[in-house]
Amino acid sequence: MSLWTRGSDTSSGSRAGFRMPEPWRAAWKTLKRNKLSLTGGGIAALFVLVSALAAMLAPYDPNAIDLARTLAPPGPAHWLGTDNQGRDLLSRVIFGARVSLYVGVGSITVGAGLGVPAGLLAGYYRGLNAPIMRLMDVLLAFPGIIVALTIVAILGPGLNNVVLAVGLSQVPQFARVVYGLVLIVREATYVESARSIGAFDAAIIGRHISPNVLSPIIVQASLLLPDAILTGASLSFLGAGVQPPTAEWGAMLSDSRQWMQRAPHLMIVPGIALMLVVLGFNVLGDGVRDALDPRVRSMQQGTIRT
Amino acid sequence: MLGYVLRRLGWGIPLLLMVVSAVFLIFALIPGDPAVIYAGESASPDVVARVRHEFGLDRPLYIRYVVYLEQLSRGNLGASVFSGVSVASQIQERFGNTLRLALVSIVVATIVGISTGVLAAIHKNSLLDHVATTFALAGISIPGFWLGLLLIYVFAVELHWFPTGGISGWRSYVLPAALLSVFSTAYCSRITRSSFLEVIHQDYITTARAKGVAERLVILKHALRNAIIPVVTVMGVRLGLMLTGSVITETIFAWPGLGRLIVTAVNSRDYPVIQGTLLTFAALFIVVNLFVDVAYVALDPRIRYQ
Repeated sequence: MSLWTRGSDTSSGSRAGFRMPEPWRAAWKTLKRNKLSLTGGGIAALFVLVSALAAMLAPYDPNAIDLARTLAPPGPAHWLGTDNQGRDLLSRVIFGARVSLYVGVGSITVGAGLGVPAGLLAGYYRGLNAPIMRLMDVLLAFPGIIVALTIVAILGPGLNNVVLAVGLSQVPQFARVVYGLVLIVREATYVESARSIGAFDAAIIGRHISPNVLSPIIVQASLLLPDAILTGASLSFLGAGVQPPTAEWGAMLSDSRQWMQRAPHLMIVPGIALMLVVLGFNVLGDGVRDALDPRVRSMQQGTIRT
Repeated sequence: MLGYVLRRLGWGIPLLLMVVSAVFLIFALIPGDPAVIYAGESASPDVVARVRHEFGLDRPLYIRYVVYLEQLSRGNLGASVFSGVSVASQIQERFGNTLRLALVSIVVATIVGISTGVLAAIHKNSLLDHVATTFALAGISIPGFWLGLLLIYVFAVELHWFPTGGISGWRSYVLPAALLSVFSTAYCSRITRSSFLEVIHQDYITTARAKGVAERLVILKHALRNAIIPVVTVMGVRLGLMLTGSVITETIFAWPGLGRLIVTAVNSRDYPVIQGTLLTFAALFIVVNLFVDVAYVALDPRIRYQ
């Protein structure tokens, strides 16, 4: 753990009042220097902003049908054209961002909310190790999208069920990371000393173990977020996700297949939106990983050579 | 070595049994009366009761579990709720299609991935390296189902080079295999590149060069053979995912394989078909991963499992 306390960098950011703890500040500094990740972060921020302001930004009601103007190509009235029911494509893409963000953040919350405690308990209590981790093995015996598909088959389609399904399919990913770390951290001297003065298990897990597994959880979450968005969109594309008429990128792409020849813009626009968001979060996630991994950071700062 | 294989097998069997039990339990506890589903929504209570008795649904859970295991051991996976066709025969019929597509894709991905990865590593930081890196990043980030639509639009709808879907001769393999292999190719290329760069700085490479071994031989015999070990693992896992996770590709290209089977079953809530396909997937996945682990040990004499 000596890497965490290495810095003595007090020259910057020492304004009075709140100060980020040293490791977080160092991580932020590394992230700031990574141009590619900042671009990814910019795309992600734009995506969040568009989702939040969807109602203000969208020029039309995303579900307003106008049968007089179906499959219109991009033009002055409808910047990105209209779909087969005359709905404004730009408005639907903007509202689709909101759905994607909800699915991404919601699934990660479900996945981490269940996976992190599962990993903590399995790692800390030897008796819980086998039942919890074997259950995770069972879940890992299937690819994520198959797990999500099965859960949707049981719960039925719909936005919240998609969140639940994608989130549950990511539980083992979180549990495994946390479990592996807890196995190491629980043997640390400071945990032993906490135990020796009679600290309760809850206090040891909450105050001594959890802070040490936090940054890998953040890394895992930022790497899994684009995955969650993509899996959610895939479910809707397969017809097992968000149901019409809700504007959702995967569902819009699925509908676009019928009009491929007459209106290729229906296929191009939501696809580019989805790819940009996934790419942005992927690049941002890589940057977050590099920033929070002490080994990479010290290598980049050139203080420790391995 | 043999001992390791046996122990590894010894773990695969209980895992499979756990998957079987979990799948049974989940589908037995689904809210809603399966007898009503089998009999149809409009069936009279008498008919529902008869169906319930016929399928043994009125018996206690543990008896149903034993019956289920017994049927399973004879290869009986039940029958489709709607068509009445046996699930086992449907799976048998479609497995070959999925397997052929997966094999073509994995071969393409491995050849293209390894050669571009090695070239990128040898000419590190050259234009070639940057192009390969860009393509790899795009290949990892592009949403699969969107790429599929683009391929169909360009090569099937506009250029008429290949069919839009179905199986009809070698031409029908081109687009689905391209789609299914693109992520793996990108991934394989990245792994090969970084693994190769790691190996090329090892002492035995320097020694080989110092001895005057021809550069081509150094690359092919000394470097590649060692660099390829992590690639084998990754590609093995990708093959497992291709066999089970081709739901998107098979749906887009109307490919009559297992992925398409489970998607149609999910959308119509045909539980016996979902259940049977899930078990097949789990078995395939576990077996492929077993082979990967064994290959890993066989390839790298440094690893000795006790």
